[in-house]
Amino acid sequence: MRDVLIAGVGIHPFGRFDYGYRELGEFAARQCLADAGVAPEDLDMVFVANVGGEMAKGHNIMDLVARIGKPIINIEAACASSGSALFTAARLIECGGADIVLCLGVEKAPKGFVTASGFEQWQIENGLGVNPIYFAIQAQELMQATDVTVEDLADVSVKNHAHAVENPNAMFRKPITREDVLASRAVCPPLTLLMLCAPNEGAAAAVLISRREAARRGLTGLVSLAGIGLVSRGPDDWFVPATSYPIGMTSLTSRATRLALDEAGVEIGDVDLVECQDTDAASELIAYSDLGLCEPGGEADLLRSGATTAGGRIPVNVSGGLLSKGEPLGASGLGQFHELVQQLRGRAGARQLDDPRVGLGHVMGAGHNSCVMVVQR
Amino acid sequence: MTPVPGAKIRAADLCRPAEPGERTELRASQCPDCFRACFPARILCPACGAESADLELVGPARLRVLTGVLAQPPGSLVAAPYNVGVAEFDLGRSGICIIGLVDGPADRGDIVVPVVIAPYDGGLIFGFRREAAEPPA
Repeated sequence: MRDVLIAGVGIHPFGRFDYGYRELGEFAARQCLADAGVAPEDLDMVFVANVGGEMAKGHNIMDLVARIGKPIINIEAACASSGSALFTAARLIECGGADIVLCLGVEKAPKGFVTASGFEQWQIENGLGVNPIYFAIQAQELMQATDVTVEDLADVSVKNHAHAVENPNAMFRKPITREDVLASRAVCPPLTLLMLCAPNEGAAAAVLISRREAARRGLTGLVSLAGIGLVSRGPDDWFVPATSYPIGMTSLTSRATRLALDEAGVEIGDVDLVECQDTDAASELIAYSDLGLCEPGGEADLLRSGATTAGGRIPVNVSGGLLSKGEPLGASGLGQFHELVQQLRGRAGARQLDDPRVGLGHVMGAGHNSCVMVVQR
Repeated sequence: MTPVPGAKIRAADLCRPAEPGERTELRASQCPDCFRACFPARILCPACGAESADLELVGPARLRVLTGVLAQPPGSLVAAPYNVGVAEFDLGRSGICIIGLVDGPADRGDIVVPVVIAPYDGGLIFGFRREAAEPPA
């Protein structure tokens, strides 16, 4: 992708707040527009990613920002909603349908288990309609196929919580130990409470701009959205809410990664940092091989080597990931995007990495969807 | 607890009706062209679109995954804690892993069979139970 640049980003911290999704979204949108130096009336279109809100949510948020009279389109694709919004906006700009597009992700998720994940009524009534079961199944499959241990799962959470200490936008900023994780309440074995992310509230935004419009405005040095891959469930993919799955599963994430890297014209070895979907600790490890950071079976070695810790060869979730930030479903992908762009700009504060040039974001959503984004300086 | 009629009706779509505790067959389907299996059964193969054939899964199967639910899920009529497993059915050219409740004691790797269980008052659904050892001759 040659023509899509990132003019600005914004974020409302992830956590719990005593005001509504409209205010969360307004905050992130205003911060993003100010960062981009773009007036609301300059926008050609707005895409708003959200999972659980009311109808016309984007319209309700933008009503607080400005009544721009331009198309506002709401997008829902579970945890891949933000990625889907970015994908749509990027394609629109690429084909010349718009020059400046605001992508906004926002969520005010209730506490506890995520409901309405697409389960059949018989699954819900019979106790099978709850996401951590499916995360636990993936975790056990991983542990049987590789040398990943329950201690490794705990260490993913320890790593990401350590990263979040320096992230003012994260919900959980206290460092934790392996013992803390293992001693936390068992939810669905082998997963304990501290190996699972908490659905929460927050918003994040990005203004995408065409290269020609950036040039017209004299904007230089912008980070580019170099590649983006979005795929949905194929015949042999794992998915939530699965009732069954084939013995030989394929990976949506691997396909989305290939698309994104090819479009960006880079290889995974060129990537300097990754923000991936750590809905649970095992999901991060599965992403290591699906993204190509290691061969299948090499997940534990990669983690244990320290390569995915800040300062390592390929830091993963330096923002703290969903395990520490929490997951406002519709905003999570744009939250990753915010982190990647700020890192590439050198504006990540105390968690700034050493001169990263290529970042990769990855989200997975129920249904199932996977989106991989490559940003480049 | 009030019975949920829908659960009984759906259970019949998923497996052959039987009394709680009895063995049953899961109602799956298999594509004659690409050999992919689906559960619950599909009329057309979601992969290639061919008309699927009925497939009754009687087991035995291997309990590939065993986990549990230790906190009460919203909407569940089954009281936590309870066990959930994945049973792997070998179909020769392909295989299928089915997610369901686990009835009674079990360990990962056990040989299990599909049974009808009543996980809550008025509810009937399929589940997996460790296959009983053959009685001595």
